[in-house]
Amino acid sequence: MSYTISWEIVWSSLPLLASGMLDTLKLAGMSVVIGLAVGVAGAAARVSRIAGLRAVTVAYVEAVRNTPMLVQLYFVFYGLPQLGIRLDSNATALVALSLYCGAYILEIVRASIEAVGRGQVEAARALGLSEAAVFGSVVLPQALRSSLPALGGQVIVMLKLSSLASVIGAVELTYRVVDIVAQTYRSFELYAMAGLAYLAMTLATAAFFRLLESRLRIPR
Amino acid sequence: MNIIVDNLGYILSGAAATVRLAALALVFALALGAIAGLLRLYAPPPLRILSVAYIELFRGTPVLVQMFFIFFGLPLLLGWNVSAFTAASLALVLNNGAYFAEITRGGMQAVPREQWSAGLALGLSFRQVLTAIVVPQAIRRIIPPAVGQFTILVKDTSIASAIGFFEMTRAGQHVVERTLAPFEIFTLVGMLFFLVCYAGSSASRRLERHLARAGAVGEGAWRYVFGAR
Repeated sequence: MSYTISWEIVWSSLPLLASGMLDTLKLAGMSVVIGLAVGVAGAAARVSRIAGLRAVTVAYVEAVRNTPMLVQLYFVFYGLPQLGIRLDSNATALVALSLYCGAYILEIVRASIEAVGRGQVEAARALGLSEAAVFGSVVLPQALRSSLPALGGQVIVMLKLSSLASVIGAVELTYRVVDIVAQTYRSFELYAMAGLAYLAMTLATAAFFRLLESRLRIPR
Repeated sequence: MNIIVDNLGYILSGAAATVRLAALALVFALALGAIAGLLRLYAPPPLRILSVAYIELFRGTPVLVQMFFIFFGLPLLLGWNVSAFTAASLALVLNNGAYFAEITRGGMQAVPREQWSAGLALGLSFRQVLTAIVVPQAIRRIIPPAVGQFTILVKDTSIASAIGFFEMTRAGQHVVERTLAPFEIFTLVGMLFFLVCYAGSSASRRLERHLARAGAVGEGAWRYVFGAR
């Protein structure tokens, strides 16, 4: 059996690959933004004084973090319509990825909140700040800054995980590549190319977060 | 409820395949990870660069794409006939090996440099210091994140269903096609994954707390010198 490598097909499908990369960046980026909102709100609930609220966040975090992303996608895509909640492939991917990302960010932010010095909270209260202001303008900014490395890691995880959305037919890079492979049978070149494209995106993200960390480092 | 009872056996046969795949991948990934991690730390430049390239490549790309490449891409070029099981295990081994390599490296680097200096000053060889002094201390730091990585490995076995390997997620899909009850079936599949992964992730957390309490490396070293009390 002889198979000759031909990069021509990769060359001619570059526009499609580029638009797939853009879709992947959009999907992962939006899931991180929504996940950040869910995670920060959840972390606030997780450290609140209301036991019921704490229990809900724990259940959410454990359920999401201890089941596979793929099963969550299937659950939202095929399972939820039984309850009358119908989402198309792209919406399912966004919802499932955001919820997944939110659970991880919740834990990241919670750990950072707990690492903020007790003295900071006491000083803020002594200055007469409201509880909301203590959390929002004293604890949270410090916690987010020290979460930065872990958040960068999570963005990279989401870039890679978003590839699973192709399995339910959501449009992103892997979906595009699978589609072109189905038409051209050039699976070797195209999957190698897909790997390189993901590698470029994850390495760029890592570099971006390193830069951000050095810019936002707390001066000592 | 009947749907679950009637199909539990079939789902569990998928679960058995999941366990086989995860166990096999774990063993080889741990071995590969230890080797790659040590090469990255101590090998001469060509081997070190090779291991860095391997680690970065497999940590920087999705498991799904790795599986597609190994299952659909490579066989075309090499003329191999690769089964879904082989491709899935190979991808999981290579992927998790890269993560275990970084965990190994982190654990080794957490052992203070003085331990090396002291060992070498006492006239021990590089290998003796490595195996008798550094590795026993590093293991304590490696185990908690390695257990955490194992739960990720268990979750990632579900991706093998995308290349047609029969495991628990695939078994769930088959049952859904027959019964048209995706809500119940995927809840069941999710719960079965949860059982294993929750056990793993809470064990990882407990081990980490235990390590923090034990005073980490300091006490580990004393124990090694004077024997366990």
